[in-house]
Amino acid sequence: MVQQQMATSTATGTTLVEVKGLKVHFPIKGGLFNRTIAHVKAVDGVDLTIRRGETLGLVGESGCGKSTTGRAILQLIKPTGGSVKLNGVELTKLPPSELRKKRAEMQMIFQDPFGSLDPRFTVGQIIAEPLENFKRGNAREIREQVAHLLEVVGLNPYYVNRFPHEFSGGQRQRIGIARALALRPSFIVADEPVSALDVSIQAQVVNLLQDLQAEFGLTYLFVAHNLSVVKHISDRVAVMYLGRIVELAESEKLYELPLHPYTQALLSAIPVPDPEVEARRKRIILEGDVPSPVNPPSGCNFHPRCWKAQQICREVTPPLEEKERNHYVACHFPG
Amino acid sequence: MPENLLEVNNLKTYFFTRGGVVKAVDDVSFTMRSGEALGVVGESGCGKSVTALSIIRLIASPPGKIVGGEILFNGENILEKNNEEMTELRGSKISMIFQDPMTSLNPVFTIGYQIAETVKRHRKGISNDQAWQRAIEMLDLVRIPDARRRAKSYPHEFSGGMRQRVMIAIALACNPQLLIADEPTTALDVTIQAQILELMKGLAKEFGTALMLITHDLGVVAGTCEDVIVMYAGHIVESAPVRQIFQTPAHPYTIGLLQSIPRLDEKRGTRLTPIPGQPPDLSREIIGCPYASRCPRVQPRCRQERPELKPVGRGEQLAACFYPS
Repeated sequence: MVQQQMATSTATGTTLVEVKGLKVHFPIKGGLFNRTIAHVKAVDGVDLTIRRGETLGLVGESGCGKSTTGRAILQLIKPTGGSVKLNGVELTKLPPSELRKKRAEMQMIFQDPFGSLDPRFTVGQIIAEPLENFKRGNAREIREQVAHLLEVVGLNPYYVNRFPHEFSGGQRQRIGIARALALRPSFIVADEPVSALDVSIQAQVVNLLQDLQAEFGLTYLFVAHNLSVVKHISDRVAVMYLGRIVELAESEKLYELPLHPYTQALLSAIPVPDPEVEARRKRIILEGDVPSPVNPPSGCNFHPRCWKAQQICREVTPPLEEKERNHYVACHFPG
Repeated sequence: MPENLLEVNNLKTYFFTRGGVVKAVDDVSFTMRSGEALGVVGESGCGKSVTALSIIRLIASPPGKIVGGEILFNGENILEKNNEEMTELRGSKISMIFQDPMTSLNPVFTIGYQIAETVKRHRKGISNDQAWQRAIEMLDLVRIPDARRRAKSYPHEFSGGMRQRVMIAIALACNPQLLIADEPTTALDVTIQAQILELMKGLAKEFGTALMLITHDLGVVAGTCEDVIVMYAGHIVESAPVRQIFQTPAHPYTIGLLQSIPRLDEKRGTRLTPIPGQPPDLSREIIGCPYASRCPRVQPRCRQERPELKPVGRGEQLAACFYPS
């Protein structure tokens, strides 16, 4: 029953989410009278389109703004600027009551399976909460839906009266997924959904997410730092560096022929579980650390660590352009 | 000189908790040659960190206790040493790097002071000046730019990757024979991880230091180690040279682990094969093979008897399984 209602259009190609010029700047307070003295430019002009039914991977190192992007798209953080459209509806300008209705269509799966579930609620209460908030049926109907959701994510409905602490990390992540699915959303932002799990459990959750996508026609924005996992699950991948997207391409293509120097370095840094491959690989070791997003470097903000940097890179910010079909890159000297 | 730098025989480290006795490390034996790079892999709770902490005798007691076995370092049993002798050994002959570079350094002392302190502790008669020089030398070695100036910085002025370099500098300052690194790159970003692994590998080779690298990341092991130990539920389930672990894994758990991780060089559309179920609760008595409840090849015998670590194939590879592949 839930299944049929959840099955939205799975036709790929049409745009579900459209993000234009998204900016999130956090003020830094300080000095006399606690004035704003600077801004952390966590997200600094991000353009993205997410197609219906696809998984878009968003990768980058810590502090690059990938999680903030995910949250700003869901309006969990108010964007400083730019526009976010879900199904053609502009979210950033919606009044709170309208936005609340929209929340049923877009949900989030969090990283920490320990912190994201209220320890004083039973599993049944946790999953029923969104259903009750949005008045999806009477008590009996909600109970049935909760039992069904538990089955969908591979948990025994018998567990409905247990508390989160009685479950392992992987099982808790399944509970979080059941809660996200409860309102039959079309769009889910998964923020590092498997990072806290052991490898053998990671695979269980990754497979579950893929099965659910096929079954319910879900669209994912999959935010993670583990590129191997992102490549595995995503149709297209966007690479972020210091608040901007530097490259976006179909996942296969991005890994075979990365065009941006940062993507090349990032990919070469990932260890492959095969000693033969490891022995043959050449590694690009980047110098230094990621600069502070308070004072990002001028021009292309990757230039201080880039081995291809020229004068123009220090002065002019390269726009994200389609260099090959469906392959976007923001670099003056790609390839 | 004994043949092996480190020899762990039937090590048992238990934790006596209110919920019962947790057998975190239960009958673990392995050896390390000097200069060898050994990887210890396994999932959380498998006993890999407790094994390392037992070797350097830093098990919190209570509740932890090494209840059996011996650890021979250069032929001497570490477990028979008193606290003073252990303090002497730690930092000079055996060093350890921990996962979290944010909390491993003391925030109220300068970086240089903390390195110099280690040097002075273990080298009698060295002057303050010489120790400081050595600190700068070590910072240079771990490629901290402008070491002379940065030695006067405090830990909060350093990024995570730089702090981990400082930890490596402290660990290697006295030319130890064994460096234990417990998840040294887990808290770091992947580009920084590449820097740190490269550095550790290079320095260990340069100084002839044996490296025991504890990690959950099989990729890290593949690129860094010569030999690998796979742990599960407090036991070693497989041990072999790195190529054999990846090419001809013998234990079903090792095979399961390798199949459950996505690879960067895999073809599109491959599906992961997860290991069903969860690791066993170590506070309960485990009868038979600890992996039996999750094993696809389980036989009645596996639930009754515990398999010993035995050679498979040509002998360098050991697996604790009645029916290895």
